This record gives sequence, C-alpha cells and structure tokens, in this order.
Amino acid sequence: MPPILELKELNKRFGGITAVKDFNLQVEKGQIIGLIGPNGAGKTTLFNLITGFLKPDSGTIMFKGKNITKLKPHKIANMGLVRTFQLVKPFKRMLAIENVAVGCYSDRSKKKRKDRDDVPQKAFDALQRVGINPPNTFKLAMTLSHGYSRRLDIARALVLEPDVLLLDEPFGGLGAKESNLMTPLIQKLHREDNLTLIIIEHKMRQLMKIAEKLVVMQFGEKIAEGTCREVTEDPKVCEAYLGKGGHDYFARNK
Amino acid sequence: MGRKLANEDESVRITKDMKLKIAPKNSVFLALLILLIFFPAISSDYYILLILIFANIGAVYAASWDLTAGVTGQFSFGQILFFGIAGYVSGALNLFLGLPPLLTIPIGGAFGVLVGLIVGLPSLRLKGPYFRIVSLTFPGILSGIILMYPEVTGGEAGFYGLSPISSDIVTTYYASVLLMLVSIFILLRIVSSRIGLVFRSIRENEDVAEAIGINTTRYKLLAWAISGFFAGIAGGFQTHQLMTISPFVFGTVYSFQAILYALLGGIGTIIGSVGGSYLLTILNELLRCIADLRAMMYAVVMIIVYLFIPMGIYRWLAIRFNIQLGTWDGLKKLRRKKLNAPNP
Ligand SMILES: Nc1ncnc2c1ncn2[C@@H]1O[C@H](COP(=O)(O)OP(=O)(O)OP(=O)(O)O)[C@@H](O)[C@H]1O
Ligand SMILES: [Mg+2]
Repeated sequence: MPPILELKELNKRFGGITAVKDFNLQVEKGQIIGLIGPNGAGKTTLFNLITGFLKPDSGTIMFKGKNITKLKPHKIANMGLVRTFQLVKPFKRMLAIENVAVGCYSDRSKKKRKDRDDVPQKAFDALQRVGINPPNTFKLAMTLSHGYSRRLDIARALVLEPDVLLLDEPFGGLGAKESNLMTPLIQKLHREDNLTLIIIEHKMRQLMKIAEKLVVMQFGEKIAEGTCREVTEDPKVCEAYLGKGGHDYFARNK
Repeated sequence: MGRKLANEDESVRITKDMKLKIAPKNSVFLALLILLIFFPAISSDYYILLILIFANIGAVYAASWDLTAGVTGQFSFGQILFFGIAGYVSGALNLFLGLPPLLTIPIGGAFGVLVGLIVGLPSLRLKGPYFRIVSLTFPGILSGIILMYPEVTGGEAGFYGLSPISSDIVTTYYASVLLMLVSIFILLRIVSSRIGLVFRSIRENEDVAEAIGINTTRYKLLAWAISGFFAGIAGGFQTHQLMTISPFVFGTVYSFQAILYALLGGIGTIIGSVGGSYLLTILNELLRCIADLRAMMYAVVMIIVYLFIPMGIYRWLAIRFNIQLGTWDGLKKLRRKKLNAPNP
C-alpha cells in the first residue's frame, strides 16, 4: 500500500532561519508517529506546511495519492487531514457544543451526513467521546479548564472524521492526572476510528506509550527515525537534546 | 470588566434535571411590540413620529454593521458606504426612471450586496487594524467620485425632489416599523442558524475555523453581502423619507453612528442595535435644546454607559432578568429530542 501521507524534500525558510530543511517522511495508514525535537526545531512549522497554513519554499506533500502542496487549509481539512494547535484555541465565547458543531458544517462532514437534523446530536456525542459531558457540554468554552480545552480541540477535529490527525503537543500544560487520561483517550480514538496520527510532544514518557515510531527533528532536519528504542539509543539524538557528551549522560542515567 | 461579565451572558442555563432552560421574557418584547404598533393611536404628532422613523432606520443600519463586526468579527469603520450608495442608487432610479420607492429600495439593497462583496475582498487579506484603517477611507473615496461627476450625480446638492415613502406620516411610520421588524427578525434568524454559528466561529478564531474545514472566505463574503443589503435598504428608505440625498451622507460621523448604536445596545446581539438606536436618537433630540453642548453631553452619556455596562444594555438586561440570549438553534433540537445523556 502506498503511504497515506508523504512529504518530499520540504523546505521552509523564515528570513535567515531554515525552519524545515530537506524533509522527507512517509506515513503509513494507521500509524502513530511521535514527532520530537528541541524547542525551535521546526515541528510546528512542519504541521503548518502539511495543513496549508504555510506554503513550502520547495518540495511536495502528497495525501492519499494527491498533491496537496498548494491547497488552502480548509480544502486539506476537508480531504481528511485535520490538525490541532500547540496553544489551545477554543472559540471562547461559544458553548462547548457549538465549538464542535462548527466542524459539522464543513464540506466533508456535510457529505458524510445523511440526516441534516442530527448535527446537535453528533456534536454532543463527539464531546462525550472525549470525556466532556453535561453540564460542561453547554458551558462557554472560555470557562472550561485547560484540560477540557485540550479535549475540546480534539473533539472539534473528530467531527470531520479525519483519516489523519495531527496533534501539536496534546499534553501541553496538562497535569499528571490529566495526562494520564489523555493517553488512553488518544489510544481509544486510534483504535476505534482507525486514525493515523502524528503527535508532536515533549513529554516523552506519555509519547512512548502511544507512538509506534519516533521522528526526531533538529534545526529543521530529520536527524533520526525509528522505534522508540532505536531513537533513544541514537547518540545523535542525545546530543541534540543534551549537547556533546549527552550520550554518556543518557547511558549513565538509564 | 466587560470580559468577565460576558462570561455569563451566553451560557445556557441548565436546570438540575439537565434540561436546557430557555426562558426569554417574551412578555416584555410583546409589550414593546404592541407599544410600537399602537403608538400612533397615543400620539400622531408629526415630530415625534419622525424621530421614531429615524430610530427604526438607525436600528436596521446599526444591526447591519453588527452582523459583520459583532457577529463575524469583521470590524469596519465604513458602514455608511453601503447606506450611501444604496441611497444614491434609489434616488437615481426614482429621479431618472421614475421607479417607486417599493422598487428602488430593494434594488438599492442589491447594490449594497454588490458593494459589500467588493469591500469584503480586502477584508480577506488585511487583518485586524489594517482593514479597519482602510475601511475608514472607502466612503470618502466614494463621495470624491460623486463630486467628480456633478452632471450625473448632482454634485454637492445631490438629488432632491424624490418621491416620499408616503405623504402621510403615520403610513411612513408603519412602513419604517415593518422595515425594522422584518430586518431584525431575518438577521436574528441568520445569527441563530448554522450560518451564524460559522460566523461566530470566524469571529473567535479564523485559523481554527479554516483548520476544521470551513471556507472562511466564502462565509466572510456572505456576511458582507448580507450586511450590505440591510445597510442598503436602510439607506434607500431614508433617502425617500428625506426626499433628498447628497454627498454629505458619506460623512465619517455616520459610520460611527452605527458603531455607537450597536455598542450601546450590545455588540453581537443584533437586537441591541434597536435599543441603542432608539435611545441615542431620542437622546439626540432631547439634547437639541442645548445645541452647543449636545456633542459633549452625548460623549458624557456614552462614557458613563461604557464605564458601567461595557457589554451593552441588552446583555446587561439579559443577565439581570435571566433572558436567554440567542444561541445556535440546534440546541433547541437537542432539547426536543431530550438529552440522551447519562446523569453525572
Ligand atoms: N511565522 C514565522 N515567522 C518567522 N519565524 C518563524 C515563524 N514560525 C516559526 N518560526 C521560526 O522557525 C523555527 C521553528 O519554529 P517551530 O515553531 O516550528 O518550532 P517547534 O519545533 O514547534 O518548537 P516548540 O517545541 O518550541 O514548539 C523557530 O526558530 C521559529 O522562531
Ligand atoms: Mg511547536
């Protein structure tokens, strides 16, 4: 089977900074890929390129066999490639259920839906799936806790019934307790919806539980790719995080 | 202060048994409606009815601005453009082709749609403050063009001697009431529909709306078109009501008039524009006796209002009296189906 998502020789520069450099990646259907790398490595920029929020200087992005490099973000989303953002971005002055309902009026959801009237129910169910129940369902999004906001972001993406979901630091800002709830949630969604996931995350302990494969970025380049074990034992990776001699440090503290 | 209070306003209040409680104080609205309809029976004073006619026109005009700015988040300083263009189109059709107001006003509205789409285009590229500044210049450009071709446009004097809405003030009053009620009703329906839901999501965060598959370009243009239409019919109505229109209609003051009305009444609520328009139009008349101090009194009143109820009168009342502010009408469907949610 051809990869569901393929990045070929992607490049993106901001003035003097090369945010993404000669980036290649193949994502198979159903995979969960963890995307890691130090701050400023270019992970979020890569998401922005894939989802059309930024245009690459060169290179192509293939999704389900189609070239999506020049498409607008909403077109890409409607093809089934949906993202969340690094900072939670709820529609603050709208109810949680309204937040989710918006996505039900995307072209993709409209096509997938037969009964027009079931939108409220669908939004309600999507919230329930991520663990948001009444009365929170009917609260203004700005009044929800940070943990709920993260889940709201995911529920908003879910109503599009995506094929590939890109999560930008889903554990960002979550406490230990909330993190421990997020992990099984992501696993459940992956299992039930046959989702393909790319997850940017700094919290390695959580990511290792979920990801089948890790991709490591530094200065815009892919410096390692492989199973969690392979990658964490790669001296280049330890160096990227801890500087020269980092490998010894890693080895000693295992 | 405004932010914090705004928290509570749109929340659907939920009773213990998890049913959505939607309890508008319909009786108050009904009473006001009856007052509006039977007002000429109380007083058919020409001057008072005239003021109310202007309040009705102002309500539609401010509500049209509220749809783009308050609901969709496309804040512009040039709303008078649609009003003025439609006024000119209505005037020209009446003067040159002899069409009656019943035809010229809707056609003027159609031109409002056209101009709305044209103005909408830069709003797609220019974000936030940049667009606001640019929008400030549109009406000026238009009045400049009008002054450049005096043989067609009548130059500074504009068009005059146009057909009135009606020669009878009471009939004109009822026409304005009808215009206001129908316009506000349609705008409210739009805001609570799925289109309004998407409009509000664009106001809250355009990028996220795009990311979940919303063609924000299409919806923003739709908002401009609707806004242009309602500003346009208000403009056409006023032109016939005054039986004249001149380039002075494009004054920046008049763009701010829409903003003041909507802000006072409650931005993003549509219905607030009606209250704002009535209050400020009447206040304006009351202060006429102190003409020199009028502008200052006006400013003082506005400052007092914004200091104490920055979310606008309608939201303030809604919180005080537990009125359900408009939300997405899908919630009512959910309630009708009964929430099949587990009780926590
Ligand atoms: N819109 C932009 N304009 C200019 N520079 C940018 C822009 N977006 C990102 N950058 C720069 O590109 C580099 C990569 O940033 P990016 O946000 O992709 O990193 P990241 O890997 O997501 O980091 P973090 O883990 O901190 O989120 C950084 O140096 C950043 O300053
Ligand atoms: Mg990032």
